Amino acid sequence: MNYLKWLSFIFLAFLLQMHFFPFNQRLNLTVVVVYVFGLKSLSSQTRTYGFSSMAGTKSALFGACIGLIEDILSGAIIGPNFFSKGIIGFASTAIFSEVFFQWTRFWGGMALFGITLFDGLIFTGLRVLFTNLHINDFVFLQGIAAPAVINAAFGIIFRPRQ
Amino acid sequence: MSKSKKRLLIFFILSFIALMMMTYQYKSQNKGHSIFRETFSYPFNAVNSLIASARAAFNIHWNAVEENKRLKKEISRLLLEMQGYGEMAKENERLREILSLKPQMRNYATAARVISRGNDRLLKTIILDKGSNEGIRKDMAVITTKGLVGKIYKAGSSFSEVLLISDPNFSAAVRLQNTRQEGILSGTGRSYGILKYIPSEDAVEKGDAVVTSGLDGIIPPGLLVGIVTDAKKDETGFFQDIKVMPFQSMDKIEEVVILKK
Repeated sequence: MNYLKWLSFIFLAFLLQMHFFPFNQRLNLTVVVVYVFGLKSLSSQTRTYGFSSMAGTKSALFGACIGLIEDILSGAIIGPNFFSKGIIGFASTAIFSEVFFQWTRFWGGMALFGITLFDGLIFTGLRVLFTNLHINDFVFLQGIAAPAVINAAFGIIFRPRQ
Repeated sequence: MSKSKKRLLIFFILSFIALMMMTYQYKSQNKGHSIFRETFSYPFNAVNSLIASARAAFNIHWNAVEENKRLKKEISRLLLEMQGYGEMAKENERLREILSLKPQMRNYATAARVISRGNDRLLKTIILDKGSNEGIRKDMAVITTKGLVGKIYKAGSSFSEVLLISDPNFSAAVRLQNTRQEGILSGTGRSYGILKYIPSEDAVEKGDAVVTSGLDGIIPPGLLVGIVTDAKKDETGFFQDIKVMPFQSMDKIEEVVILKK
């Protein structure tokens, strides 16, 4: 049941990303999926085993898989999303246990804002480095800053299990 | 293993795999994962296709009555216009015969429906519901009744991706319709494009139409592209800074026609 839930969540995220463009901006919902997975797996692992390194590995793997699918779907070079989402998966398990310590709506929003910004920077950097892609300031802002602002709203909603 | 060592290990493994993959693809010019792409994108494209069909059916139903009224008016207007065009076409044919020129054929390949925007967040692309099975090949020109839309960027077996003229990676050889001055049109990521390499001494007016020149060997000549909305002469530079607004809005594309080279 849990697998089915996550599968639907992933599929929905990809589908929404393809079809909805609020204010003509592209969404980056896969970051939200990876972040939420990190938050949730941290709580369950901590509850069960009392440590978070296993949750980190699991989330990094999950993130890398999501990134891999996103890379394949984009039709461009495979690797940038794989790398950035893998790192995000790992970071999202540590962010509320070792960086902010306690989740609040403000820090939740800030965390997802920062994570999305990080994802955009890594993705764009690797794409520019490994493909002959031309981007200008406008595309850069659209591709990085706008999704980060939109995702910050999701950061306010999704919280770790108590 | 300590937590920090484990972190370093995960980071190292991810970096290593990602860099290996990217370096391999960079050297092999990004070939070899089209099968994976077809497999993974199939369920999404199928759902996108369904959504597009449902949306189209809804729109047809919703707009049917008004569309009917508008079309009736349009038909009577077009019938009147057609009489004039018929005469012009005949005159044109006669003149071509005189000049021993063969009538130019628009290299129609196929028509396709737009099912979604592309999945690459750094590129402005759209996905079409037809691919190489229907004769679509890379670099074919894509147009609507209003003008040029872009060119085929990737052609899968049953879906293809169009790089829009608004993308900074798009360039096409164009000319100004009135003065016949040639230049290169590039996308900017915004709604308008930039017309490059028009010398400062050339007169360019707002409202001048821009058409394809065909000199790039990719896009057929004579296709409408856009209209000049701003032309600035740089005092120190050799070329003008010209903004071109495409005739076809990139957010409102539903059906397109693909042309052979």
